[in-house]
Amino acid sequence: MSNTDTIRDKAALVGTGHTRCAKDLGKPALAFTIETCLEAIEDAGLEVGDVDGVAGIGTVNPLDVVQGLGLPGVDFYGGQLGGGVGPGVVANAALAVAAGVCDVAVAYVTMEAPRPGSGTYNYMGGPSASGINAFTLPYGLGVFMQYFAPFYQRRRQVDGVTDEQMGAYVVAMRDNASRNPHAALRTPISIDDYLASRYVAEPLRLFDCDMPVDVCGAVVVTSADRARDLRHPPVYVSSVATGTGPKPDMIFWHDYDEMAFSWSARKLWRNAGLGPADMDFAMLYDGFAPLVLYGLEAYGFAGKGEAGEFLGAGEHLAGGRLPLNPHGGNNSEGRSWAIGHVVEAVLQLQGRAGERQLPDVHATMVNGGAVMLSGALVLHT
Amino acid sequence: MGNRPLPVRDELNRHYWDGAQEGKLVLLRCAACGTYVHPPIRSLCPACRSEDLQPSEVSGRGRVYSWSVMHSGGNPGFEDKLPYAVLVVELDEQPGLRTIGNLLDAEPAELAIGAPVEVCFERLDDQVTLPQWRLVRTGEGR
Repeated sequence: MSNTDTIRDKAALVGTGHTRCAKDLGKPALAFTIETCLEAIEDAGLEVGDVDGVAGIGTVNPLDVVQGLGLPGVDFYGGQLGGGVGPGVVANAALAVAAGVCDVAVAYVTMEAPRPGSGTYNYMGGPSASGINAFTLPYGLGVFMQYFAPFYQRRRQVDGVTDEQMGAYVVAMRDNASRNPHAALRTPISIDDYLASRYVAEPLRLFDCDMPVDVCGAVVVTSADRARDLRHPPVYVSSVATGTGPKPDMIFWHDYDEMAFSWSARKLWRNAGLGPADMDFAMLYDGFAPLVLYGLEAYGFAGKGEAGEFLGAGEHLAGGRLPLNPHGGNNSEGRSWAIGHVVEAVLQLQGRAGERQLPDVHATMVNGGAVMLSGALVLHT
Repeated sequence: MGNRPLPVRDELNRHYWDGAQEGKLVLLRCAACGTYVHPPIRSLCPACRSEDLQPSEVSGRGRVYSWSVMHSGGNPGFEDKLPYAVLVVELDEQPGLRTIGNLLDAEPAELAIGAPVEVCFERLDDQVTLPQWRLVRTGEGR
């Protein structure tokens, strides 16, 4: 397939905005979302009047963002492409730009921390159980993290993934987050701290789970041609992908040994014209830390069943074979559905990541999602 | 806090809950191609697209596919049951045919992937009986 037939290098990420990750940013979500979008537009060296596309998900609707930015209407608005959370909205915006549907799109994710009295965070049920929940809630399976735990259990039992291997990942994320002023969890921890972290849904520990926070992250996407005249080096979008498997019913997913990531990987590299070995680092989604096991294997960074050993050997560290998530991941930065991963990817590739900056990096991939949800981007300068 | 959410019967799941009241594990099965369909949340057979799905009693035997032991609250009606095990059971009838339940009459430490289990029934009230699972122990004839 020639590159003119694909999205390859037709769109670029040119500016970023990111709030702190905090339990309470002290203002309405729409307000901090608009501020963050404006920050990203200004960072790109563009004017708000240049924006003719908006894609976003989370607790703020893109239609409210169109109005909040004071735009005279847009040529494109949308949510995520597929179920890829943060990378999925960026993928959607990039496809729109690459196809000429709009010229300058803002893609964002907004999340809000639960407030006191709002009930159990991420409890999917109500007083009764209907639909698919009829087969889960009566058994005490109703909180999102509980759905993921049996997947992780399989990795423990089948592949022999250990607490020490997952701990090596989480300890590294806390260390990375100590250099990220946006992060919620910036105090380094030891492996013993990780091992002392309580089980929430065994084998999943509290420290494996990202912290729900108030946060907005945004990136500006425009055409490669226009990007070359802007303030920062363009970060080209080589490829985007979403995908899912044959039984996308969460806990009833057909095969716990892989996730939808495996489907989004199928054409990702072909369309990018790059492969996993070309990536200088990777931004793998870690809303639950063990999700990186699936990401490492699905995208070809580790052999089947070998992701635990990859982490145990420290290959995810700054000096390792494939540094992961230099901003601390969602694991330690805060729950942003991986828009934090996208923002960090851009900053790293533009050489603007401050004391977190990895040396000599030119290409990365970003993914998001869990179980039946997946979205991925390949980016380069 | 609060009470355990109870299943709301509908056209696609009535067989499961009515069957459990009678001490049977009953799933939907495609009358055209024989594929079992669970959870029963869509009215089409995923294998052949037939709309003719009929209740069919199954053996109630299966193996542990995975599990988690819940240590955190958040599920109404389960605060006083912590920790408790939720099983993902693959039924003998068909590869990939899985259902969810709790482990009764055993400690989670006894669980292993592939461990044989069989259905048992937990009566909650006059309306609702839950299919649940117990470990088949060595010498019980599996």
